[in-house]
Amino acid sequence: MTGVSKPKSKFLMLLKNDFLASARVISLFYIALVLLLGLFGVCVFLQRGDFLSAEILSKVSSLHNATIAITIIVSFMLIFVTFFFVVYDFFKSLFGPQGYLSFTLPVSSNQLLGSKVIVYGGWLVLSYIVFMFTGGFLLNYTADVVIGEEKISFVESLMGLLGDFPSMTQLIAYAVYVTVLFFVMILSFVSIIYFAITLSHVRILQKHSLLASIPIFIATAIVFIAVAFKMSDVVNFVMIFNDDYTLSFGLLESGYIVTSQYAGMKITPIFVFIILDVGMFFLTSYIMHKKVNLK
Amino acid sequence: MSEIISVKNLSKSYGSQKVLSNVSFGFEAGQIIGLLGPNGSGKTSLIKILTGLINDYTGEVLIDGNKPGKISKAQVAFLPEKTYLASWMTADDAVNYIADFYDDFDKAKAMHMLDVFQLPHKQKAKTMSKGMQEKLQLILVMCRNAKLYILDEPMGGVDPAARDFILTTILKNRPEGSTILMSTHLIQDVEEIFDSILMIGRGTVLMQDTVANITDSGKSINDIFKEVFSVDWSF
Repeated sequence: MTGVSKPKSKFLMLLKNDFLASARVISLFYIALVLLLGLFGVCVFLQRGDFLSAEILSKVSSLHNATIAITIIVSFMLIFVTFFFVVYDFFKSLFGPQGYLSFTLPVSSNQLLGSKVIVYGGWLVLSYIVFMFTGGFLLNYTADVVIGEEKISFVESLMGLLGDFPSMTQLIAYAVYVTVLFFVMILSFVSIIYFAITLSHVRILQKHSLLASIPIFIATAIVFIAVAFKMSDVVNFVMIFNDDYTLSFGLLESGYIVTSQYAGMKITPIFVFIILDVGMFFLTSYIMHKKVNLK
Repeated sequence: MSEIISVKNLSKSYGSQKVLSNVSFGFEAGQIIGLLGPNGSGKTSLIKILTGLINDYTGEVLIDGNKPGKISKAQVAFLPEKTYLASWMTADDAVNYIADFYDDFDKAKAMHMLDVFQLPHKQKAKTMSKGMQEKLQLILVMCRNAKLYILDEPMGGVDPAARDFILTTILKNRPEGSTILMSTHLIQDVEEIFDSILMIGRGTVLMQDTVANITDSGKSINDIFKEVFSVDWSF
């Protein structure tokens, strides 16, 4: 037999094709961002040199300001474009006519779903990271230009307003904690969207699938958040980041502990969200396998 | 010889509506089987079950000894009635996509057939005519060396010239020993290629027989079809 390909990992092939299908559109925004940042760099370079006339320098300055604004808008839009694709591709590739191709591939529904969660969850996380870094970079640059050398003392005076707040090290620990919580919540967000779309395509709901998916999404999200925070009240598991860079864990009766020596961070919601995500994944996969009816 | 398709006591309902009721049949490998029945007879539901698109049913369904699932999907080449290609896919993309998932897919043959069928490699599916998309899907299915081909109305909605083309492509590219299950309304056009037929109506098997037995009685499949289903249309 000539030309027959060697066996490949089907899950890797799903990841590859889901990535390629989404990258065709999403990557255009990343390219636009890179070009805008490049234009921004050129503007900064031209403004710092003394080889331009005042008239041209004024135009460059306008372009420079416009570039900053457009870059922030594009990086923000990237989050929405990615979100749109999370919904659109999942719906179209599984529950539109393309579903006849997707659901007859020699893969399990766990693999079909897992590939979408990884690829689109990954794109969503990346879009948030890019927005935060781009925004942070441009904010820092603008602060440099507007406030100048007094920037650090300005930040310190702002921190002073917070009173007995932990040290900078603990602040970083908080940032890491919030980032992890944020990524776990993105994963939950994706899994709830996929659950809502899948459930709205069981036979009894599929005539009004779009209308049905919205209340399902809202109700499931409310249940997720309520369970996560209720569980935090029941089992208030806290991770404490000490000022000597050590971690310790403990159970608190209620609330947080934040002193100048250590910062306690609630980690129960993270665990609850992960457990709910795993449960939601298998429930969605089950519905996809057993209950979904392609038109 | 073992059965390539074995169905025992298969029932399927949508709510209170029963679309398949205690259906049982089996076919040995190597045949071309005509799946015949009027609209609403349960053909589509049966095909969806055989291809693993519907999984909540009662009874036993085996494809070459395996329940419809990952293993059977690797053995079955399915041509649905709908065009299922993603709008962003070019003909080359579609060939590469199928090559990624099916180890029995002959990519070189598919690329050659694109040229033979005069399908532009770089044209996107969304800009192709329906006929071009159907040709492309036919290539994707018939370039697999599958054990079982399930073809749902492959000649539905095309002109007689295209029907001949589709039929020739199917017969010419079918691997030796493979089985074809083809649902169709156009019995007269294809009845000479069938080895066996399965007629279903109102969710039950009305007839399963070899074409040789039917023609021995001096009747065509079309005549039998009319006899079996005429009651549905009589007043």
